[in-house]
Amino acid sequence: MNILEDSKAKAAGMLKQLGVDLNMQISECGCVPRVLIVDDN
Amino acid sequence: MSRFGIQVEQCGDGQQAVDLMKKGLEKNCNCIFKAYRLIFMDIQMPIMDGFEASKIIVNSLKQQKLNGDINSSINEDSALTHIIALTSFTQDLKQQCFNVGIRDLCNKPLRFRKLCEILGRHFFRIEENKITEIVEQQ
Repeated sequence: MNILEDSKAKAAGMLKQLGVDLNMQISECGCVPRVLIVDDN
Repeated sequence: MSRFGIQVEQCGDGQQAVDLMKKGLEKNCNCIFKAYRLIFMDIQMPIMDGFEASKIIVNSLKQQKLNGDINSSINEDSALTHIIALTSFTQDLKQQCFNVGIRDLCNKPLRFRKLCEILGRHFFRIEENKITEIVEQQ
């Protein structure tokens, strides 16, 4: 994925303002929330 | 995404995505995290395209929930996995995407700000009005 460097700080601030809990819950069985990126490029 | 503490996996076509999803669902537990929380799905891919892969994944999840293999009582949403299409032709493909259970579409290349918006909405499942409020401030 291409990420624009000049918008990084702004975007990081945005997530912070959203009150995102970066320490998401890990289930008792040890599973963690995951993201999958499917792209042939 | 790893800077936000998110575990990311990658693959190169729809068939691999379906295989990875099924492998996760084979785990013995029934927690909601055995399915991916969020999938960024390219639409035009070799072997199996994004439409077909999304359709299979959405149907597999529905079946898992029906079987009780995923604990839906703690699920805050009707779908455990949100699939987001990555494409260069978002307008033309919108209806087709929604028909197979894709939640949202993003233009390629994905900008960082849009990525944060998507993560807030579909990974962290933050209230829509809160996201709109913050996006308008930017």
